[in-house]
Amino acid sequence: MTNRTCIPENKNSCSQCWLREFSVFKNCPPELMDEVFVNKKVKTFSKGELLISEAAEFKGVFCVQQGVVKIFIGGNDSKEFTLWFARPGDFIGLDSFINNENYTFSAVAVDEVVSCFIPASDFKSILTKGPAISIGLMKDLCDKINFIEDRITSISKRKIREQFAEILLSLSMKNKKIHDGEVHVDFAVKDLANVIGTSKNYLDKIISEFSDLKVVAMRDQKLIIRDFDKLSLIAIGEEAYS
Amino acid sequence: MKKTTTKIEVPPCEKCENLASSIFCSLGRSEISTLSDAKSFNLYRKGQVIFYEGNQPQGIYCLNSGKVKIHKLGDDGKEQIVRLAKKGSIIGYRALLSGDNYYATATALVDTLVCFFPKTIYLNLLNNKPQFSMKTIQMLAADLKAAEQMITNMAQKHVRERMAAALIMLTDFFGLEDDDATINTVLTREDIGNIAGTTTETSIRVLSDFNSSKIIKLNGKKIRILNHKELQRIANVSE
Repeated sequence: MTNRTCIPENKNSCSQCWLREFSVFKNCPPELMDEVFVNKKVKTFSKGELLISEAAEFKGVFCVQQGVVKIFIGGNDSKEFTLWFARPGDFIGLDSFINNENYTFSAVAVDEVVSCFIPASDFKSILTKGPAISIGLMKDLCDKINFIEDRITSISKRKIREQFAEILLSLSMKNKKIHDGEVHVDFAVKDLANVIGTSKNYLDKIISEFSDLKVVAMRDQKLIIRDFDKLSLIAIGEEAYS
Repeated sequence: MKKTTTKIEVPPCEKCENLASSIFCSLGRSEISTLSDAKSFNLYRKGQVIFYEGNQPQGIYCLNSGKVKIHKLGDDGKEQIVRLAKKGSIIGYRALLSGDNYYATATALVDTLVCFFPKTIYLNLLNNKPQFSMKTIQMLAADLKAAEQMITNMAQKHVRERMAAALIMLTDFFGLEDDDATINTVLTREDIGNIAGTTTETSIRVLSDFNSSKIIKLNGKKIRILNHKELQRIANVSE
């Protein structure tokens, strides 16, 4: 269903996993991963199932193989806020591992998810195996911080519609599935609203406004991006109103 | 003329009082003295910029004394403070790690003494000292957590709550003065607004509102916390 999907032939071998080149272990010798991650397990989660719940004890990290996982803070009685979406090749829980603390977020399967689970002890030992691995990890953390800080800057200063346009753009850049120049967005409007920190109703209003401008379209409850140029103009706030 | 001869001095790294709490604490004697030999230092006056967003990093900065704000420019030219740094903090390392240009600008909030370590020295340590790179990773993870906390606040809290959260954050980060109530920093109303993600006008209004409800006491730029519990309560209200 999703892009970048392919379950490796040998489910238990990291060295055979084609997602390795997208992950923080890009520069790690493949055999080493097989050698160290001996207790790795492959787990499947159905849509809506929790991989991690906030404040639970840290048990290990997840490496997404298939599907999309939403990483968020809050929920239940407090308001929920989405931090990021993990896709195949992304690791979840790296920061909790480093700080030796309980999970500081929850993770839920957005669609059918297949994920490798690497227990804390295995993961700990690979970090002692040379600088290439820790530098990969640093780069990953840097990217995440930059992503969040960019959003901090935009969240307070920009209009919701500009933020929404930007989120759509950044999601579509990760998504390689194109049909006749149209890109499908695999996320529910409610989730997108949580990413920006607004309500679903308000986002629905913006979507219908965007539809009138022929920037996006809703088809079978799926959001489709139709006009990238216009969308990027909206994202930077330079769209000419007619 | 004599006045200009007061030279600024920083201690060598091995004698620096910040060493024990800095990321360099895991290093051995010889590495620290190499580090110390390679460094240069500079005094940045209040308001002076240490590095600019978009410039290429040449090394990392370690604060010997003083306070610094790390801020980004929004598309409409408004400033957002994303992080603060104090004595012993390392700044500008992230751009170096990811090989990008500086993602934000660093400006001194008060007169600040800064040591500078060239890029090669730092990268060398990362490649050869696993304990040191682990420290760096921990620092990154802590920064990430702080950023995640900040964005959640921004997205979910109203201005009043965000302002209260900003004051609590300042208290936690800079600590209190000897009277155990005044926040140990001088920030303009604009700066506080830029932390909470609001305009200067709103920042002034909310602060004076807190002042009249006796939660804080404003004294020039100094802020005394009178009712920490109440401030905490305001900051945590999410509905």
